[in-house]
Amino acid sequence: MSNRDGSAVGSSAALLLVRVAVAAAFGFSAWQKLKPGIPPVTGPQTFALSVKSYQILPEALVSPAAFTIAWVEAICALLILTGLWTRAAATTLGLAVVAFTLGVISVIMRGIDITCGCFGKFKFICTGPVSWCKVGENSIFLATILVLVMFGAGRWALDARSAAAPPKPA
Amino acid sequence: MLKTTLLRVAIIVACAAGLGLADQWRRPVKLALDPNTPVVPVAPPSTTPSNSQNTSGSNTSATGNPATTSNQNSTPPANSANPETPPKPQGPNVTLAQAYDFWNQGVTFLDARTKAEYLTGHIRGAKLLDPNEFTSDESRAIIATLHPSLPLVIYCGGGDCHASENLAIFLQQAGYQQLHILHEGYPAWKNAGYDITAGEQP
Repeated sequence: MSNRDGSAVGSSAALLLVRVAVAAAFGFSAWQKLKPGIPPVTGPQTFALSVKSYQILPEALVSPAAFTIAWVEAICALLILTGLWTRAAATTLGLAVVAFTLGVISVIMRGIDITCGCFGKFKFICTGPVSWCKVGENSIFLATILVLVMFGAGRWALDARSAAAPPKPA
Repeated sequence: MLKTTLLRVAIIVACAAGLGLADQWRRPVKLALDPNTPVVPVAPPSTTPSNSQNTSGSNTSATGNPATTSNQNSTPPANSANPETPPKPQGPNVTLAQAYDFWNQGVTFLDARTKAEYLTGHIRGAKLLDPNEFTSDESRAIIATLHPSLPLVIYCGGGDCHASENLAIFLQQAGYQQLHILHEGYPAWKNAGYDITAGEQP
């Protein structure tokens, strides 16, 4: 194995690790938002209340937005895990995280006392009400996602297979 | 490549929006976002409320004030608990004075804040019921002590906290009918010099 091959394997392994981590985080997040739960505390109900508490969207848009956000996360997690349309999926998640962070900053600036609802009742780094800690946590997610936007999925991905496929005969 | 990526982003978002709308449509219970919104009641997480909120002589609120009625039926307790001075809240929200009247009548108070906040200090007699832990065993045990037709006063940290509204929505969906929210919350109660306590005991 040449140095170039070894380096490519190393970077692909690193990218695979990043993909699995991002897919796991956002897949888990999507599941928390969509799970049936024990009525009345279903995933969508809890997340919709969380979206509403940010006081950014009009009430008519809260439920559609809650479902759309959850499904964006689910689809992107699946695409990133399989390595299909990786850059596009990562870009979508990146834009979503930027939007979430702007929402968090808006809540902090307005002095609204809410919890995030990002991962259901589970917390990764920050606990308690939404604070600047959440902005830091989101920055870590964003930095990880940007790795995929910049470098793609690596060689162990469906993107690499489709790129390597021979052109169809005319 | 940028054009392709942006096109794919648009496709992903469109698919998610479509799936989201379809998912929203197929769910049997529609989402409730406001305690005033009529909702389709679903089965409460606990099987049988034990009526212990206001029953059979054992009902003294933790205030030490005995409830003045012991009815187990569906008589509107907000009015029957003390016919002489019935609080008349407008909608689900109650003022501090109305909440204090309820408290004096032995109406159950629910603290929708986190356990840490509850332990630091809460309205004397209030039971901890964090909406984020609504389906936990601890919460189920508390819910089992609440009768669906008796009034409940819910509060959280005041200001823009939404925990009390969220808890009200969950309880409303679980069949609880007389829910009152003290929007001014614990800080207003404390500042008014009303009875508070700390620790795990209500």
